[in-house]
Parts: sequence; C-alpha cells; structure tokens
Amino acid sequence: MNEMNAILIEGMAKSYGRQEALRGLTLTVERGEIFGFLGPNGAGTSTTIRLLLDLIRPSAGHASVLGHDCRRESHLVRARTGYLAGDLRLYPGLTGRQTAEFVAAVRGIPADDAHLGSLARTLDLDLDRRVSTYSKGNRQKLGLLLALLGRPPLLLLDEPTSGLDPIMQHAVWQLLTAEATRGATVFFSSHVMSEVEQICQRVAILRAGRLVAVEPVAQLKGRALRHVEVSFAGEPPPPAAFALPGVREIRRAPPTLEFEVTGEIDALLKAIAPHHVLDLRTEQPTLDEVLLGYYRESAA
Amino acid sequence: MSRFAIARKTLRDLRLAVLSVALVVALVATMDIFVYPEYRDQLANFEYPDVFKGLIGEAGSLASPEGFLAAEFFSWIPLLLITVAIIAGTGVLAGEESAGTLDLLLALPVKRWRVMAEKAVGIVLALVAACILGFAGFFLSKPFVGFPLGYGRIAEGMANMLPVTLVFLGLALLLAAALPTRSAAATLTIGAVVAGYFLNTLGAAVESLSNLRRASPFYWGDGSHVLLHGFDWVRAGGLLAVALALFAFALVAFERREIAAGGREWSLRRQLRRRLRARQEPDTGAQPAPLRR
Repeated sequence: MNEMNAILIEGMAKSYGRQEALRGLTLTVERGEIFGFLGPNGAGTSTTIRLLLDLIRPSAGHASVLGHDCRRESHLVRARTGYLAGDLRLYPGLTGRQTAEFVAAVRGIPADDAHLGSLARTLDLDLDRRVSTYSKGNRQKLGLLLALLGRPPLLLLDEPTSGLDPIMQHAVWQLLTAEATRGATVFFSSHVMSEVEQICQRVAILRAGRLVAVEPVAQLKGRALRHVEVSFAGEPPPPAAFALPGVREIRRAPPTLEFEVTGEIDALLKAIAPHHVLDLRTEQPTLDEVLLGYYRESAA
Repeated sequence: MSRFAIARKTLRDLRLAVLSVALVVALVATMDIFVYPEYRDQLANFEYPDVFKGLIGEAGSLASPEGFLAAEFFSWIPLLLITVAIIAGTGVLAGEESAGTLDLLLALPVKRWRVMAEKAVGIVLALVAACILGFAGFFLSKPFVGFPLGYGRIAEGMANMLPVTLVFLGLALLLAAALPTRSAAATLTIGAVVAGYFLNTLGAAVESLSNLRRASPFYWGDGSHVLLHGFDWVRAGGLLAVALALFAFALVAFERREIAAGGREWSLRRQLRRRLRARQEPDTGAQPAPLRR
C-alpha cells in the first residue's frame, strides 16, 4: 500500500440482512489531511468509521489505516487512532479525570498531566466532576479529549462538534487544525457543513451507503449553481448574448437580468463586460446548498 | 497497555456487590455458628424428608456439624455467589454494550480476548474477595461457641464454592458474548442454575433421578463432601476445566461479535417490526440518482 495513505478503503460493503448500509466504498485519505465525510442520517458514515476500527466486520472489501490492515491488525490501528463515537457513552460513575486516566492506562500511554490540563483548558472542561453530572456538551468535550489523548497520528471523529455551542465549535476547529499542523490526519463525519467549509481540505459525500463525490471543498462549491444578478444602465443585451455554456438566464426585469451559472462565472463576466453595468451581485453557494442538491437527487 | 487496567476497573465496579455479598455471607455464617449448639440435640432425633438428603449431602445427619453447615450454609450460599457471577458476567459484555460503553473500550488498542480475560479475572477476584471476607463470620464467631469443626475444613468448604460458581460464570460470559441481549443471557444462565440445583436436590431423594445428578455442577461441588473429606482436587479440577472450556467458547463468540453502536440493544419486537415492514415494502432495487454534473 502507499505509505502516504492514512486511510485506504477498497470496495468496502456492509449489509445487515437485506439492508445495505455501505455499498462498495473505495476511498483514500492522505496523511496530514483534514477530511470531511458527509452524509445524511443512515448514509453510512458512522458504519465506515466503525468498520475501520473493527467494531463491526465488512461484508466485502477491505481497509487499511496507516499501513495496518483493519481486520488482522486492528489493535495496531486502534493504537494509532483517536476515536470519538457519534453516540458517545461514558462511564457515569467516573470523573472526567478518572475516565482519562483509565483510557490512558488501557492505551498504555503515560498520564501526561500537562497535556491533559491543556486540553481541558482549551475545551473549558472540569475534569474533577462525575461524568453523570456532565451536560451533553461536556460529555462531548470529554469524548474529544479522550480521542486526542496521546496525540494519535489519526483522528476518527464522528460528528465532533455535535452538542457544542458556536464558541466551543470554533475552539474545536482550531484544535483540529492544530492537530493537522503537527502532522495528524483528521477524518470526521459531519452534518454541520459550515465546519467542513472552515477546516476541511477535501470532502467525501455518501448517500444511501454509496460514495457520490470526493473532491476539494473549493471544487465542490465551484461546481454548484450560483445566482448572478446584473443591473445595466439602459436596455439590457438580448438573450442571445448570454447563450453560453453553463449560463442560463432565469429572469429578465429590465434593467436587471438574473442568471444561474454552473461552475466558473468567467464566460458570463466577459459577455457583460462590453456593456455599461451599474451593479453586479453574485451569491456564493454554501456547502449546505451544494449538498442539498446531491441529497435531493437521491430522493427524486 | 498499563497492567490490568480493565481488571482493576472491573474489580472497582464490583466493590459494592462484593461488600454486600460478603456481609450477608458473614452474617449467615455467624448466625449458623451461634445457633448450632441450640439445635444439635433436637436435630439428632429429627425425622427429615428424603428431599433434605440433597441438602445435607454425604454428612447424613443435620445434627453433625458437617451436615448442619452443608444444609444451612453451603446448600444455598453458593447461589448467592452465582447470582453475583451472573450479574457481573452478563454485565461486563452485553451490559456494557447496551450501555454503549463497550464501544469506548473496544476502540482502544487492546485485543478483544484480553478485554474479556481481564474482565473475567476481575470478577473472579471479586468472588474470591467475597468468600474471604465472608469467612470472617466463621473466624470471628467460632471462638465464642466452640463449633466442632476446624477453621481449615470450613475454609476448604468456602473455597469449594468457587469452582461451581465459575462454571456458571463461564456460562454467563459465553451466553453474554453469543446472545444479542443481556437479559437473554441472564435468563438462560439462571435457567441452567435452577435446573442444575433441582436436579441435584431431587436426584438425592428420587432413586430414578440419582444418576442424572451427575449432570449437575452442584453434585460435583457438594459442600458436605468437602467438609467430611477435605478439598477434592479432582472434582474441583473437573469443574474448573468445564469453566475454562466455557470461557474459551466465550472468547470465540466475543471475537466474532459485532458491537452495536450507541447502546442500541437487539430487540425481538423491533426485528419483527422491521421484517414486517420489509415484507410490506419490498426492495425495488432502485439505485441512487446519478451524480449531478
């Protein structure tokens, strides 16, 4: 396998009886990448992460993490991976600190108080309270702290900012970016598109257990429809002037024209440049809009 | 991995159960030691039904200290330990899975066999601790009454409770690893305990069942036999071999197990509902829409 790959998944499938949770997933994540794994509920994002950790077994295909086979060398995979479960459950009778000490002991890493304290401060988490008294947000913070313990080279995070307030979400994005800067690979699933836009280099979109796109965030957004509104000084040019590839005139209300543009808007800009333009407005599509487009197609 | 972190946590989780059982065992031991002199003469002439033979065992008479302890203590205290073993044995795997914490544990760099082995070690140590602490009841009360049975023999009787308990712990671990829910594993294990107990007790009274007694672990873990003849290494070894075999099967079942996410537990009702829905709405084989370009 390519040593540059942090994750290599080839033809992975998972079925529960007649229900196919994952269908022939093939995916590569490079080392040091922050990789977003997007999909609506039931798309198979959590299933993929659990397959990588050997918590469940594939019906077909195989995967390797940092050069280790996920089935035969699963303990080596887990030794180099920090994991945050999507539906995190913790031991209610332990304090945050005891939970961290237990996880560190099982991981076989020294209890690094300085690192633990630093993470707790960043996440604004009181480690001396019992987990049973934690709010959902605090449990999520502890889950993140546990995943980051020992500075693993790979982080598998299933919806890492779920239940966190916007300020804390921002802190987590900074934390994950810092992890990537030190060389760690971050692979996370999310429904929160803004965080993917904020920190990811590439994203994969999963729909009904099938991979529908893997591309850089910028490219994904560039491929989406965008609205462009142009106001001319005087009569606008005739529709034939805008018969361009990827451009569709959707509204004509002189002196304003409204277009829908797929991909780059360069051709449209060149078409309007000879004319006297009073105003030009373009709406950057959010990743939400991009994804909704993908998801709507599956429902259609 | 740090030394036995999972075993230590299991032991810590069971500390309240250990102390509670030890307290009950010690109180019953103390009570039996104190009441024995009062009842000895009455029991000598007591005509007890045949069914009591299974409780008294080889000692033959309730008036003897061996027969008295066998019937009043060693006939049912093992059931208490077995109850703890079943609760703990099903709780550490299926219980953690339904609580969702098994996900956290198995995502750590530890092999599954080790998780189960450490949890089993933790439970065994907890049971041993309960026996040792419970023995304090005999130890502290015997000097006051002059009970005519040595400490050593009583200690051997206490130790003899463990092999039969471990057989049912092994069964509980196996069923917890193989079955989808904790309640199913616990119910079947309790069923096996009840069947084994009554088979042994009835087999002592009913001639036609006497050979079937040998199928019961309680027959081979008979407390009166040990009180009369000392610790029987062959019987104990046989029971431990069965316990180890059950544990080995449990390891295999646990290796193969798929861990449910987020504490979701298998439910017969849910499965039936899903199958019914699938039958009503057959899979059309529709493929997802092609990627928009």
